[in-house]
Amino acid sequence: MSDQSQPTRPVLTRLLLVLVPLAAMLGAFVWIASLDPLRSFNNGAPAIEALTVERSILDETGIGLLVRAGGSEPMVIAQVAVDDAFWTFTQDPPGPIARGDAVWVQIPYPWVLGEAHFVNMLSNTGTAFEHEIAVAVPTPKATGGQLRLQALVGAIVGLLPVALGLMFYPAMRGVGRGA
Amino acid sequence: MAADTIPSVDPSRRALLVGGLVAAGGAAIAAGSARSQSAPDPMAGHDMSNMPSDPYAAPMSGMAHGNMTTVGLVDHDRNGFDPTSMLTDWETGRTELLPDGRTLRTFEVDAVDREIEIAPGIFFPAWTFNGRVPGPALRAKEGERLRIVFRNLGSHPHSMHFHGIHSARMDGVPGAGLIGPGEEFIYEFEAKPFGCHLYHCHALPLKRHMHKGMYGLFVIDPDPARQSEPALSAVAASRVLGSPENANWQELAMVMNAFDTNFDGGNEVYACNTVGQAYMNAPIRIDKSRPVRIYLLNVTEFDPINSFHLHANFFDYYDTGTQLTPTLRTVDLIMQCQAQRGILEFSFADHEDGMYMFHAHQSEFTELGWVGMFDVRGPAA
Repeated sequence: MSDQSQPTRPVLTRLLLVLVPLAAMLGAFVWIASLDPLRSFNNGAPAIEALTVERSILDETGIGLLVRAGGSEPMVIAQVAVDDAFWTFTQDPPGPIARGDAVWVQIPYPWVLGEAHFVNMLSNTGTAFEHEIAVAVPTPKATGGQLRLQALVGAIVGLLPVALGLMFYPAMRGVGRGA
Repeated sequence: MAADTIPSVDPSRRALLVGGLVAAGGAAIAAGSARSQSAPDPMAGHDMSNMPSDPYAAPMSGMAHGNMTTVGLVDHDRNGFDPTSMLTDWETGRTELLPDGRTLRTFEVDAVDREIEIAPGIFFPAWTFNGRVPGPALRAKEGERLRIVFRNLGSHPHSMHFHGIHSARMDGVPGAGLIGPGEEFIYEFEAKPFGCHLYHCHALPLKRHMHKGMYGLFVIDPDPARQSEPALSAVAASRVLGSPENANWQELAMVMNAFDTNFDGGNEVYACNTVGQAYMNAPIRIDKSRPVRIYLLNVTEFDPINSFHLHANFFDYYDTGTQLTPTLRTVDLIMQCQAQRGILEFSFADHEDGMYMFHAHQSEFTELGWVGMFDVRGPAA
């Protein structure tokens, strides 16, 4: 029935049928925005702050941390303390860290091989974000020697058994035939 | 025999299995020898043959204990107080003569909520006296009548509890001078005993009101006329602010405090006069031809004690400052529990010019901000 009635409506009516709900929708947006119905939920609580350490690199330049922010507002790392001592640090890229962004925090701290260290990052509100390095050892680097060794390990576990196994192929070919 | 017990396995197949095991074992031995050749390091499992394992060993600029510092500087103007000017900024109020010939000294103190920068970039929601932490360093003279007009412009009940001798009504505890927001109270008592004292808010919970910043020095100078011995009278005169005998002294007001910025019951920033590392960034200028007198107070919350250590020198210490003879002579370190205070006297007269450090001798406090430098030079230098 509707299929039959619709084509009979004039163009203006059809346009109005779109425009009126569109206007109502826009009006509703303005009304909701002016009403700010969520304002009653604002209890004065400070912005949520979150920092997550995703990687840590220990080398001859100190401690490097890849830190991702997850706060409701951009985060500021104001100071860094390692083992309860304020320490200089650089942040790359510098400035406030937007939600979801990650930065490298580089701390020229003389860490001690085989011992534990405790990094504490303080935000501008004084919120502490702690990261424990349980046992400090240098992070392996992609050096020539390192790659050669890894290639050797790969050959030992991957190539050598296959090669050795194949060497038995001629003998295996005869197995069972002579029985 | 074995073939009898496992009849299903063909002897030639068994030989094949044994051969395979031998081959696998040989491979394992080969792998082991490869590992041992390349790893002389006792920290086996982490091959560092191509890099120095000790960060001290690497040539590297700036990698030293000199990096033990905060990054950046605190904006003292925005804070409204500067740790350097605080050292000598004594609040003496206003005085008038009473009919009986005594002096009435009036102080005005307001409790104000204020966010302050306690280390570069770290902001703390403080409760303050007169907008500063520590509060104004009140200074009076023994025997004066004191009147402290206290207004609470903050958001919580507050009080001023003075360490001194006064009546119960003036004690600044609940029911005796503890006032709600918008209220006013006038504390009145006599300035006694002379010494280096403090005041602090005594609203409950006390711990929160203390560590939020509500404390300050309260120094009562001795009256030389009350001393019968000439030697002690001279000592007393040297302590009276503004007297000719006092003019040569370099007097410094220092309050050891700390801040628990994440409210977990432990301090994140330690300081002398609130701002961590303030006197590392701006060393305190000392004229070595004149003696130094420090009015030192500890108000650190959460930690049982704090301490003061002076480098390359020794001092005399007058605990609580209520005596004119030293409690301890020739020491380079004193301890104070919370609210303990005292007077330190020393001289750099015979020292070379240079930077002389002072700090808490709890290394943790030192490295979290409570450390400073005296820039000792001659008067003309």
